[in-house]
This record gives sequence, C-alpha cells and structure tokens, in this order.
Amino acid sequence: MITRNDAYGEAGQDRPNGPECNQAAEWIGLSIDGEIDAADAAALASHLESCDACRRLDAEQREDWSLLGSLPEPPSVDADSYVGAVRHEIRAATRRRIARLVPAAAAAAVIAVAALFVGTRETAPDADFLQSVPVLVDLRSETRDLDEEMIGRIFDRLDPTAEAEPEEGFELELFLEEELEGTRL
Amino acid sequence: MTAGREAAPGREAETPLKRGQRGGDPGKRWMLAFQAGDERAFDEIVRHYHDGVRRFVGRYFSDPHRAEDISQEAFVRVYRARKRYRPTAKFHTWLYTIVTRLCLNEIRSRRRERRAIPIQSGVGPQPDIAEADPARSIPDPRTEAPQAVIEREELEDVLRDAIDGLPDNQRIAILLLRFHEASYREIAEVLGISTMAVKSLVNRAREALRGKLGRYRAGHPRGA
Repeated sequence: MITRNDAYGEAGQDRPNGPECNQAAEWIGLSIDGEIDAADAAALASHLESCDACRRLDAEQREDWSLLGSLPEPPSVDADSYVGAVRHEIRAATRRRIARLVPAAAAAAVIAVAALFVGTRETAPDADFLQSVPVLVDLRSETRDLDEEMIGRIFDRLDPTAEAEPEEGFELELFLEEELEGTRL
Repeated sequence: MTAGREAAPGREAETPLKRGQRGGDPGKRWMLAFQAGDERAFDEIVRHYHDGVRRFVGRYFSDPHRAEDISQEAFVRVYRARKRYRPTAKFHTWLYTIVTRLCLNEIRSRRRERRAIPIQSGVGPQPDIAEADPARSIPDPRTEAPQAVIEREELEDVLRDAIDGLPDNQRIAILLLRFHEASYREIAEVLGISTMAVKSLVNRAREALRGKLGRYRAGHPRGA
C-alpha cells in the first residue's frame, strides 16, 4: 500500500481527498501495469472524473511510463552471428573452466583410474592402458579423441561434489559431461 | 501476460519476450529437444530469445560491453543447465531468472571490487566504459538535427540516472514490466518473491522515478 504522501509528493501539493485518493493512486499503478481488474478500473475512472489531483497523478505517471520507453537499447545484431558468438563463448568458457580445474581433476582422475583398475581388472594393467592414463587426465589436450565412456566411469567413482565450485553451483560430474559434449561444438 | 490488459502508453505492441510465448512456449519445446540431444534446438533458443535478453541487460547496465558479456553468459548458463532444466515454468521465466541473477551477481561483484580498491592508492572507482566512451555522445548528423540529439541525450541521461538509482530488485521489476510486458506473477517467479511484494516494489520504483523524472517533466512541459 502506498501512502498519500508517496503518491502525491512530499511537498503536499495537490493534497488528495482522503482514503479514496490513496486507493486511486494504487489503482493508477495497477492500471498502467495492466494488473487492474474491471471493477477497479471502473471505480478508478469514476474517481478520476471528480478528482483533479488524481487526474494529474494519473497523467504524470503515464507520462513517466512513456518517457521510460526512451531508455536506449542496444542495436540489433544478426541472429546467426549471435548464435556463433554464443557458441564461441561456450567454447571459451569451457577452456577457462578446464584450465581452472585441471590440477584437481587430474589428481582425482589418477586416483579414480586406479580405483577403476582395482574394481574391474584382476590382472596387472597392460602397457596400453597405463599409457592411456596421461591422456585421460590431460583435460587441457584435445578432448575430441577421449573415450567418453571411460571418462564417465572414472568420474562415476568420484564424489560428484568434491570439486564443485560452490559459487557457480556446478558439480564436477556435470562439468565433465559438458566438456565432453563441448567437443561437438 | 494477461489477455485483455489495458494498453499502457508507449508500450510496444509486441516484445521479443512476447513473441517467445506465442505458439505454446516454443522455448520449452526447444529446451526439451536440446535436453534430448538436439544441438540445433539450442541455436533456436539463442536465435529466438537473444534480442529480448540483450535489450533487458542493455537497459540494466549502462556499459554496453558488460551488457553484451552478461547477455552471452546467460546463454552459456542455459547451455550448461540443460540437464537440470525442468519444464515446470514458462521457459522465458526460467531464462529471465538466469538473466536477472547474472545481473545481480555482476552488480554485487562490482560493489565488492569497488570496496576492495585501497584508499591509499588514490585510485577511485572507475567510471563505466560507456560513460567514458566519447563515441556514445557523438550524434549522427545524417539522421538527427543537433538540437534533437542534445535533447535525446539529455533525456537518456535522465532516464539512465533514474533507472540506475533504483534498488536492484526495483530496477529488474520495472524493466520487466515496461519492456517485456511481464506480469506481477511472472516477475514474482523471476525474483523469487510474492506478487504482493512485486506490487510493493513496483509502487516504490514508480514513486522514485516520478521524483526524478518530475524534474525533467518540469523543464520540458508537454507541447512545448
């Protein structure tokens, strides 16, 4: 509820006619915002016919609303170019996130690879598998050729919140999904 | 958006956000398709909604570079959040929740940066790039008379000051109302507050604007 002084000015000019004007002031705002119902709109119209102060308030508020439409807006851009720019930004953001998370993710991945190995193999790892470890953990390298299933299994073993960035709310698991899907960009 | 709403003066017949709602919330369909793996659906979302997002953020911040960064970041967040998206609300409401949170985060982050500037360095808060950008105040003589340029820029400055002077939530509410034809209910969803709180926010914002724009109106009587 707005007060009489709010609606009609601190100087007290155009002092309204009591509670009816307070109600009218509220209705004027609702009317401009398209939130007034038919009965109140009719009551407002009736009040405005007999109240100079509220008529003035109504005119000023509508003029302000109209003036506000002159607030400059950015020039239009080509939609396809904008899509390209967003795609570029997604790739750039992905690279930045990878760069930030590489040390922790790499260490976690090494541990996870070991856990995966213990959990799925009964014999010693073969040389090819061991050679693949640096590739798996080097998330800064071209991720195009990474084995998504393998990465997924590795990180399934991790606590998904262990490397989360609380300020952004992204879990590590989701992050990796995004990195991998980002290779298709 | 309510059918049969009174046409407010100066309101556009249709905003980009309004267009996004025609055809049964296409954004929701695209988002679900994107969730299911259709990358082209994401491009459609960007194509369809970028205009509205850029306009909202562009009006929220006077610095056009910052506004562009935040607009693009909003779509990056949409991209990343696809797995978590649930079609419980209108897509544009969800999108503008992301956009407004980014705006608020940016404002708060800027405030922190400004507070962090050591007084001893003698370096004060930096003006917005847009404020310092001389190109912003150069009129285009091909399209506007010099006097018209001066008057337009004066009005823009008054409006910018008035909008910038509003508390964050009031600014968001007013911009969504004025330029995106959002209802109180939609603004409430975006801001995570009640519709009554939105009504109160809008009333206070309108009164603050009335005070600031009143001085401009007094100097520029209608028909003068």
